[in-house]
Amino acid sequence: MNGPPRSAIVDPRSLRAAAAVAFLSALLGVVGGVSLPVAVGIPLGGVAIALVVRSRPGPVAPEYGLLPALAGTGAVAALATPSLLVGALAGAAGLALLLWNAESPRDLVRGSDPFPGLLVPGLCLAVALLAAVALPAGRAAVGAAGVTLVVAFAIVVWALGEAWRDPEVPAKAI
Amino acid sequence: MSAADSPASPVRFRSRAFVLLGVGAALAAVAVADRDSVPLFLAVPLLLGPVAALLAAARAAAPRRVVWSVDGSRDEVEVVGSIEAAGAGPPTGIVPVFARPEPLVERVPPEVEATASGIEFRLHWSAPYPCLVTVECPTLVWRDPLGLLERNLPVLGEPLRVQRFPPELARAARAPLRRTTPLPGEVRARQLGPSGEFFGLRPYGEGDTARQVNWSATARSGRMLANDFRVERTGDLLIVLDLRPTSLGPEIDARLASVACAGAYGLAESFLDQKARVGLALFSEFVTAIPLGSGRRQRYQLLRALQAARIGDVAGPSERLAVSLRRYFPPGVTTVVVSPLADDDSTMVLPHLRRRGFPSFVLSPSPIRLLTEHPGPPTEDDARAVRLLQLVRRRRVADAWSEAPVVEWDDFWSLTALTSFFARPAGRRSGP
Repeated sequence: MNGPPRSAIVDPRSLRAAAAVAFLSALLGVVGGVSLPVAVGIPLGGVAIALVVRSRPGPVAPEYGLLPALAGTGAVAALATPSLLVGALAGAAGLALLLWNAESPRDLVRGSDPFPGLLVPGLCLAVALLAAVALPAGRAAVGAAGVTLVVAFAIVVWALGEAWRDPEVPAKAI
Repeated sequence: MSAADSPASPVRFRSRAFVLLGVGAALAAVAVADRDSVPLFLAVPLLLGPVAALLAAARAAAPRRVVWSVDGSRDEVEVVGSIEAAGAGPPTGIVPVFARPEPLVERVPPEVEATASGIEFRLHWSAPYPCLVTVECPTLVWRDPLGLLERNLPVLGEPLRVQRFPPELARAARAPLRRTTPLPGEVRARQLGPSGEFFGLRPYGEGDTARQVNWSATARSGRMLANDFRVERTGDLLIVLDLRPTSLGPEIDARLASVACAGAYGLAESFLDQKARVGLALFSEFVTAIPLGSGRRQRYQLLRALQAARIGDVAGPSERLAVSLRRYFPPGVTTVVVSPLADDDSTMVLPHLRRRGFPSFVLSPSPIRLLTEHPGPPTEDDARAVRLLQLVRRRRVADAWSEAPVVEWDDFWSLTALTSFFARPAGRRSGP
């Protein structure tokens, strides 16, 4: 599994994730009632700038290069009119941003497959969307209980994760 | 194999994780301020990504073993190797980071392939001029699937030594060296060589001729054996490196020092192979000396000293070199002064050496090529500048010739001038 050639400006896998971010962000804006030039222009501009920045050599560019795309998608999300579909699109755009962020085109070897890493954020997003549909709105107590529940869940998962994570050192070395 | 070179480090967040957390927190704040749920939905994956990455992190990691070697000839440096971990399975999410030392340059992008048992790599570098460098073990970094966390993995392995010098130096040891009397209290080791009185048997080595092979002993033992002969003396060689700063500037000085060190090591190795004693003196402000010696330990000491050799900050007076050499080396030892002769002052060491009893000759790497290299086709002005530089150098070399023979080293990858100098009687001029 060879890494991409150093001369390639944009990694094809990054390009797919970038296209997904641009498409989902623009769709989010269009469905959310944002004017078409803004809904399409801001995400596309952010993604284009992020692509250019991330393709530059040096260790800093891939670390902070996603900021323009994050800002563009965030701006569209803030301008969009809330609805369940718009929320789902915003969540999907967030997952696509995570996918894009996982890419390091200049690494010599590809990292592991990023899709398993999206499982937990995707599940939590699904829970949040279901909660938005099923739970009664307008009650602060429900919101507080939801937040507490999520925090407790995260702590339990973290604690269990500590126990699940077996050391990679062979047994005879311990 | 040595102990672990780099210990395992704790898991740490990469900068991109903090970017995600920061943007996620900002979106959550906007959502709360605007009472708008859409930014919150966007923030959920951004905030939970780092948490998911933490869940994927292993608590400890098995050390990886780096097995590598250097190949190639002349200016080519081909580093081939593999990174393996016994019983740790395929290298999921492990990224090697190779540190390429100066002055090596990347010729072709590296080939790195992840296999079932590890990572195989092939690095295509080249050396723009002769050099002695050490390539440190690669750093191994584990990254989670989302690329938000990383941790350095322990690596077992030896640094790789890369030595590149003109191949003609292997034939340089045919030069007749002067014999020197031992210092008081000095006991000489046995002098062994390819001819003389029979001394004993030893395993056949690369470079032994068919005449040296003891065919009867080889037939009896079932492995190749060669004869060792006790030679009367092979001689002594002192290599002096002029590491004083010159008017060429620190960058050119450093490159010339690299060339000089590589040449000195090639020369020393060649003579050590012939069981000659070789000493080294590095002269910048003061003299750093390695007394005459032979054998593998001496070879290692010389390599270490030459790898650590750098251009000094202050130039010492020329006479100091000759005076100091008398403390470490007996007079009469054949002396090679490796100096670019970049300043008029650099030729001043030669009369002092002569007066102190060191018969010397100069091996002079020419700085002209380093001074005139630039991208693009040469212009008329460039040609004129090169001509002027050559005139200045010719005059300086002529001055040096009045004190000692000078071997000019113009093409850094060829030392034919030196071998022909050794082959012909001393005093005959070599080079243009």
